[in-house]
Parts: sequence; structure tokens; C-alpha cells
Amino acid sequence: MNKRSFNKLWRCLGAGVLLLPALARPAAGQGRSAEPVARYWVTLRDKTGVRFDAGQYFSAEAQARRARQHLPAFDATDLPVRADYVAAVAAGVDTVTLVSRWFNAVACRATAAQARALQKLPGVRAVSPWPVRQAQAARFSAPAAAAAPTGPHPPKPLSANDYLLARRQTAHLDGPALRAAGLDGRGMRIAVFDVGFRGLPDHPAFQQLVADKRIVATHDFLRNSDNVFLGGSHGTEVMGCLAGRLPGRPESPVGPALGLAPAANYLLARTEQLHRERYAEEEAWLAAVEWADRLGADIINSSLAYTEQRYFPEHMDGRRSLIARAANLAARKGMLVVSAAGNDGDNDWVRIGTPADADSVLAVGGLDPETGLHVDFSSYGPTADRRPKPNVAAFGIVLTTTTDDYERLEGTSFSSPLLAGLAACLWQQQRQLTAMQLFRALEQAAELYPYYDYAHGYGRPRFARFSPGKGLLAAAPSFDFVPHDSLVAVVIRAEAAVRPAEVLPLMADQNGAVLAAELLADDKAPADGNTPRVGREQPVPGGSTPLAPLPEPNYPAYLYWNLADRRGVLHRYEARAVTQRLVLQVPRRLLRGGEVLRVHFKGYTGSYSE
Amino acid sequence: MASYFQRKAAASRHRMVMLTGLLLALLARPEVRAQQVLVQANVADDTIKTTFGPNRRYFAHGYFGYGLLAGSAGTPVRYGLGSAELRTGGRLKVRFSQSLALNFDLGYAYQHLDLDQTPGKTVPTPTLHRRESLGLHQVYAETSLRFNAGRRGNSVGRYLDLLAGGGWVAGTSHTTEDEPGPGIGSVETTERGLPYLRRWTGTGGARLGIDRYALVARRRFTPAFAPAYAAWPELPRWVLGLEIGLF
Repeated sequence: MNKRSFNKLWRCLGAGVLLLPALARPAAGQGRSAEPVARYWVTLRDKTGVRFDAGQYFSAEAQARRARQHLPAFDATDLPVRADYVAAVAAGVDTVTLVSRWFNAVACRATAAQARALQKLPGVRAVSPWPVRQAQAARFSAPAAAAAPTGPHPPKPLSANDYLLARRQTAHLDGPALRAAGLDGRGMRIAVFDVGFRGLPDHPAFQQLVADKRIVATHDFLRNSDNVFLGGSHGTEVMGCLAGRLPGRPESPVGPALGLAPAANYLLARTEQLHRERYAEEEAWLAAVEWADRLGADIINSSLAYTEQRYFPEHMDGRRSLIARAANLAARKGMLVVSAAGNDGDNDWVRIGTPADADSVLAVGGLDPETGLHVDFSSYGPTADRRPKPNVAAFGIVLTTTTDDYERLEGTSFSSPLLAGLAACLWQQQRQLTAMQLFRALEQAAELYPYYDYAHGYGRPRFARFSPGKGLLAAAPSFDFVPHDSLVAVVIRAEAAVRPAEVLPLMADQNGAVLAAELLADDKAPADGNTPRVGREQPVPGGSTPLAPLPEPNYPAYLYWNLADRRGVLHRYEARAVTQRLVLQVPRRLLRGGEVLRVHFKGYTGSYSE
Repeated sequence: MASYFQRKAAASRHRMVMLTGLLLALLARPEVRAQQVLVQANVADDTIKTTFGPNRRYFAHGYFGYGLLAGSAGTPVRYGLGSAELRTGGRLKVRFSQSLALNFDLGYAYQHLDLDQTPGKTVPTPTLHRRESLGLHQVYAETSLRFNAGRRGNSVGRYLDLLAGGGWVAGTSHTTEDEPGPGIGSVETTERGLPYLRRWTGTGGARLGIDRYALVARRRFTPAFAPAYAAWPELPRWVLGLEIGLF
């Protein structure tokens, strides 16, 4: 290397300042123009004169869903975007990446000069810079199984703990009672948006699903193809918690269900890319939700949460991200959107991600199967504008399907499909409900309702409490507030301080029966202790944290209490183990200024204020 | 023996005081007795808007860097892993906007230079050895102007830094390894506190990075040798390497 060549290099680095914007230019966007290309969001002016036949555009299921919920056959957002406007935009930019009916908008890649020219087009209302592509190294590598060939081969034998966990994750949401009532999601259409469904068609857990042709449609919105069985296997893991089954036995080839909606129909969409965090994924999510609406999805499960690579915590207000706004629109069109709260409870982010921040999205937090309480990685509420989130909670540690096996995984990615399965069953039972009625009924059926906190939401919904429109059964008071000079004491009533003995049922649920011969020793690797973010979950070993040997979740009664201001915004909350009747004393100075003390114990919620 | 009992009595009194205190504390705050808090949150702590973070007003982190010496030199140098710089430091970033920030670095760098043993070598002496190297322990301060590209959340993102800094050479060494005498494996000689190496250095450069990973190029603008040795041929001025942020 001589001196001249280094001087040249130095000049090149200096010139890099000018070239920096080009770093963000996507490879695919290197098109006709030599100028730097950026993303733009072009909002169009109107839909005047467009022709639309709802009967032709929407599937029969989509039409039926709208009719059931007394929604109009279509509204303005369903009308197609004016073709002449799209053509004019397409003629003036490098690439059109998305045309959205719902937002009457076009996402495109264009130069700054092209963007300025777009603003002068007659059909264009506004042109705003749309976040550029952000390539980031994944925080966690893909599971080793993702690289494995997808050919069918028998899964490894499961340990006793894994079998028990598989049974408890559905039993915790009243799986046996739902099955006894004939509720298994039959007739419901669930759309699952994820990173890929590698290995799903060949996995024995989905044999029945595939044989019955209940995967109604698939689409990869990143590659614009129908093959979603590539990319990552996170979608396969999520699907395990909806429709997966454990291996069957010779006398009963259909094994116990891992989720609550094994008989539902599914729409599978690939909207997320492994190892990258791109704003383009939000466009894919929007395209997928319009697709799911058209095909008649009742429920959308989105086990994704976008956080710090794209946003700040103060952006989590349900209005900032495209994906949150799209999710709210989906709810208005009669779909129940179920989303993972996020896996950031134990890192610097702490809060829920988006789209869980959207007010019409049912955000699901994670519970620890060991305790029935908040699991530390599950993201906390509230939203940036102090709305309560998450809404409800389910197990955050589950047994589910991987590419070609079953593994114990942790993450709210799996709480969400467990809850989506429950929602499918309850909607199957009461098809007349609108999506938001179901949303509220699920909250009201949760075991803590009307008590609430930002870790558990309203807790896990219970089948027995699900009675939309009928109001709550008043629980008998289980404690009293006893004011003293400077303290308010909470004393549990004597009749509520009894721990009942467990009574065995006459017959156990056959669907969850465990073959003793199948309960083999656990030989999995030790845990690393980290919980990746939603969408990047990794297997966790089964042997490191043995579960209590109980077939059904059977937790002690905890005492929950919180302090809220006049607006209902919580300032402090706790869950306590109850070992004595004088269970809590709160200084009365904390109750000045209209603060309300709310306590929940054994189904009863009481409030105290001064 | 007396002192043993005294110590024992004192210890017993001390234990009694502690037990009484604990009992009083428990009686005074009965809520702490047998109460096991399983989940606890103070919402104000969780939702505080911070000014510190990867894409906030302030951010600080440590880093490691490794670079190879490069560029033309007046004296023969063995380029490669033997002629390299290892640095570690801390960085404070002050952000002015989404696309502009200023960094202040403080750190330590060790530079090792392998001198090639070819006839005609003059630095530091014309004598040829089996191996010969110069080592510089340096404390440095550096400031850099950061240009960020693209919208992002609370992450460092993609950036280009323009660097300017200076260092003080805290320690120097000149190590030679020579042909041994009969029955001796090798003879290594190290001279420290070299008068011919310049104490103060000035550098400039650029850094191109994505989040915690960055490619760095630095050029030394000051001569390697002290003013009294200005006639000596120059050492390589460039360091090209990789930097990994610790955050």
C-alpha cells in the first residue's frame, strides 16, 4: 500500500458523509434512479368512482362475519384504491411496495425529487417519509433446529414434566371443561401472522390439521408467494399452542391437544423476517390483515412485538405504529386481534411492544406455570398514554412443536395463541358476539376482574365466568379494611382463611391422560437464563425447573393490591403470598389526594379511599 | 481466661440488643411478618422517561478495538498481526438530533510494531536482530462527530463518525531478540522509556458502524519520533480495524 492509495482511502471516507443516506438504501430498491432512494407513504385523496362488489371481493366467511356482527357489508376503507392514482404514483417512483385499501395509501420507494413531484399529483393528499429499512443483527441466533432438514422422523420421547406442562397449559384455561362442552374452535377461522412455519406440514402434531385440509390459505407477504413453510420455525411453535397435538397412542392415534383450537381453520401468513428488523414488516403485516379480512378470519394471532429497534417506549400509545393502527381497524371490521405483550419485562425496555399497545388489541401477558403469577420476562403495562395493558394472561412457558419435535419454550408468543384458542372456543359457543363484545367478555371472565394490574392484566379468563352481558356474580367478601390512626389494615375474614383440601374427580379427563410408559427421563440441556424477544424464543430445558407434580394447576390464593389515582392509573401494585390474616397495612398518607386502595383475594375485590 | 468471658458476655449482650431490636421492629411493622411479596412494581420507576439510552440525549458505553497498522513507512515494517493496536475505552455520546451527535472518548491503547530485519534498516539502530519491535502504551482522548442514517428507535443505528483526538504515550519499549550464544535458546532485551519516541500524538479518522459493530480507520498526523529525531524515517501512520461496543 503506498501513500497515494491511502490518501485516496481517506478522501473516500470523508466523502462517506455525503453517501451516508445511501447506506439505508435497500438492495432491492436500487432501480432506475442514481439518486438515493427512500421509503415514502403516499396518502391518496379519495376513492371517488371506484367500483366494488363486496360479494365478489369478500369470501363467504368474511361476509358471514360481518353479517353476524351487524356490520355493513363493506365500508369506505374496503373500497379499492383508485387505479389511476396508483398508476400515477407508480409512474413517478422507483417501486410501489404496498397498496393499502384500509388506509387509502401507497407505500413506495422514491428519490427526494420524485417525492416532491408526487405531492403535485392531483390524487395525492400527502407524502410523508416512511421509515427506511433497518437491518439489525438479531439479538439471538436462530434455533439449531431451524437449519435441520424438514423430513418427517419420529419426535423424541417426552419427559413426565413435559407431558404435565402440556396438559396444564390448556387445563389452566379450562381446556377439559371446554372439551366437555364440545368447544374446540370448530368453524372458527384463525389467521396466524409470523416469521415462517418451517416443518409444519410434516410434523406429526399437525397430521390431522393437514389431513382435514384446515389450513385454508397461506401467503408469504415478504416474498409474495404462497409458500410459508420456510424461513423461521417460530410460526410452527405458535401453531403448536393453537392446533398442535402430542403424539397419539396405538389405541388412540390422535394425541392430546397442546392448544385449545385444534379443530379451527387456519390462515397462515408470513410477515416477519428472521435476523432482521425492518419497517417493511409492518407493511407486510398490514397487507396480511387486509388479506385475512377478505378471507373471513375471525381471530388474528400476532405473536410479535416491535420495540426498541424501531420505537421509543413513549411511542407505545397505540397510535404511532402502522401495525397498531391497522390492528385497531381490524377490530372495527369484526376481527379479534390477539397479540403477545412482549418479552421485555426483565430488560431495559420493560414495557409492552406494538401492536399490543393498540386499545382494541387483546394483549396477553405471560404467567409462570410454577406459581400462576407473572413470569419475569413478560412485558409490563401501561401504554405510554397510561391505558391498562396487558389485558389478560396465560402460561408463558409451554410445551409446543418445533420443526420436527416438541420442546419446552418460553415467551409471551405462546401465551397469545393459548388465549386465541380460548377465544375461538368461546366465540364458537356464542357466535352472536361482536369482536369487541368478546374482547370485553374475556376481560370480565378473567379471574381477577375487576381487579387489575400491569403485570397480570385481569389474569386468566375462566370458562365458568364467561357470561357476556349477564354481569358479574358477586363474590362473598373475603376481607375487611380496618382503618387505624395512620394505617389501613386489610384483614382476611375467618371464613376465607381456610385452605380447602383437594378432591379428586371420579374420572380424569381422558384427552389429557398420560401413559406411564411414555414418561421417560428428561435428557435436555441446561438453560441459559435469557428470554429472547417475542418472535425469537428459544427452547428451554425441561429438567432444570421441575414442575410440581400436579395434573391441574392448583395455586394458593394470593392477595393482590394496588394503589390507583382518580383516573385509575396505578402507581403501585403487589401480589403477596398469604400466610396470616392480617395481610396488609398501608399508610394512610398514601391515600391522600384521591388515591384508591384496591385489594383482591379469592375472587372478591374491595376498594378503600378517603 | 478473663478476657474470654468478657468477650463472650459482650457478644451475648450484643445478640440480645439485636434480637430485641428485631422484635420491636417486627411488632412495630406487623405487615412485614411472614409476608412474602411475590410480584411488586412501582409504576413510576417503570415508566419514567429517561434521557439516557442508545438513542437518547446521553449515552455512555465501553468498547474494545483491534486494528492493524498500515500505510507506507520510511523504515521496513512487518505488517500483519504483529503490527497492531489494541484499544479499550469509554464513550459518552451527546445527541443533538436523530442524525447528529458528538462523542467523547477516553481510553487506553497499546500499539505494537514489528520491525523488519532487512539490510539498510536504520530505526532505531542499523543493527539487525532475529526479531525487533517497538511497543507504545498510550492514553488517549478523542472526540467525534456522528452522522446517523435512517429513522430508528432507541438503538444506535447506522452511523459515520469523523474522529479527531490526541494521545499521551505513557510508556514505551524496544524489544530485541538476538541470536543466542552456544547452549542458549534466545536472548531478549527490552529497553523502556525510549527518548526518541514522541510523547504527544494527534490523530484523525473515520468510523463506520451499525449498532455495536464498527469499522475504524485512523491516521496519525504527528511524527512518530521526537523533534530531536525528526530526521528519522517515519513509522506507519494508519490503523485500520474493528471496534465492538459494549452495550
